[in-house]
Amino acid sequence: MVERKPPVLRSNHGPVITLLVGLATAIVLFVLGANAATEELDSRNASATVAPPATTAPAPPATTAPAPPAKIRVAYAGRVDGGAATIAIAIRDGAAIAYLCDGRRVEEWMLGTAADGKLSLSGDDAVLTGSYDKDSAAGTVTAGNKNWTLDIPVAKKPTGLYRSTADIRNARVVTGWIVLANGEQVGIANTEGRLAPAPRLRLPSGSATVNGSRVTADAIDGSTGAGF
Amino acid sequence: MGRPVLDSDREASAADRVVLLLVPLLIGSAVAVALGVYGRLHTPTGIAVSVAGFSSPQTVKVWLASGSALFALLQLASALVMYGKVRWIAAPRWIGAAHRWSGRVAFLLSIPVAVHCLYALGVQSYDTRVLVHSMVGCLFFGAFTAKMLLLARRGLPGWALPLAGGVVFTALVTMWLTSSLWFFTTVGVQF
Repeated sequence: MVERKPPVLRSNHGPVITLLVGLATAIVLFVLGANAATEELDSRNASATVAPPATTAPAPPATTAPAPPAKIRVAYAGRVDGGAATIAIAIRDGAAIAYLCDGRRVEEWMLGTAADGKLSLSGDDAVLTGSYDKDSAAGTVTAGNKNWTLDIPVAKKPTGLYRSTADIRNARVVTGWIVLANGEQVGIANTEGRLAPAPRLRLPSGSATVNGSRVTADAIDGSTGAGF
Repeated sequence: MGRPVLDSDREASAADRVVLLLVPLLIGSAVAVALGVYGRLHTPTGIAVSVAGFSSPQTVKVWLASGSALFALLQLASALVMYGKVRWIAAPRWIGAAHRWSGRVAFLLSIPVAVHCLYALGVQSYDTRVLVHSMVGCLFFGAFTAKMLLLARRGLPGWALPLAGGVVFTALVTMWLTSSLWFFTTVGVQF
């Protein structure tokens, strides 16, 4: 008779050893990653003198804690090449938020990372890759089946990215605005998937009237942490 | 042997059985919760170490995860054979070893991915895919821990290992679907 019972494991320690080996591997990788991070932060700090002008909140001097994450807080805004849409990117300590918007039919919120001068963000149906420095951000953004190149300058308030989220008559409305250096505003109000041009954003208060209700927008510029 | 089974023995074994299951389950849950809390609380560094031969750190992760998912499929296949669920295949003698080693490889491949995810990106919730991925990622390592601890014990009820294995497999496949497959379909298949 062939036994159809599952074979009995000979060693009882195998699974535990597997776990321990996995844990050890994770620790080694973690330490390697932490070292790489420290080196990268050092090199970032070394170039911290080129800190972007949008850094309104200077990093507090490190008194006790060793090496907090590099305080790179900056925003960029402008039109994609060809001018078909606007885009804004905000960076805060390695994290990045971007908003692509044509003011009518196309909008994409993207999240991702900004590290070592490189941007890597993605959204529901969009991907942005590129680079950034103290003056500008450049790269390519793909949304749906379209893609654009971009090279946009640093944004100084009130130029930049704004976002409000509100529940208006039982519908979640997320509105994004990009305010360009010439004062032009490009935005979309998204009422649970239905897109409409955003109403005018009153600055500097950041208030607007969306679907008949007054909402307040947060400036997503990396320095306040709003939106991150 | 010939000794009659006493009621007290039965009760003891029932209580033992609960402890037998509960301790690995609690430890596994603690692992999952710890990963989630760490991923949520620490500031993601956004730092990635790229590997030569790949175009970006993202693609490294995508392919490591795909390798892990492939070995997970071997896990499912070998487990089915081992439990005699595939009628036309008699379990070969090496099936247990194949199951153990494919599992170890799948687990080891997933570790660099998880370390990077937790360290650089953290637990995020900005859209459904990312939320599901974050949750399932924590679940996977908790469930895997629980399964390994269960394996090290004897006298488990028959359903315990298949159930634990099923959770581990489902979690890993869901992780792959919400990351690598998403990457392949949004960004494209690239190395």
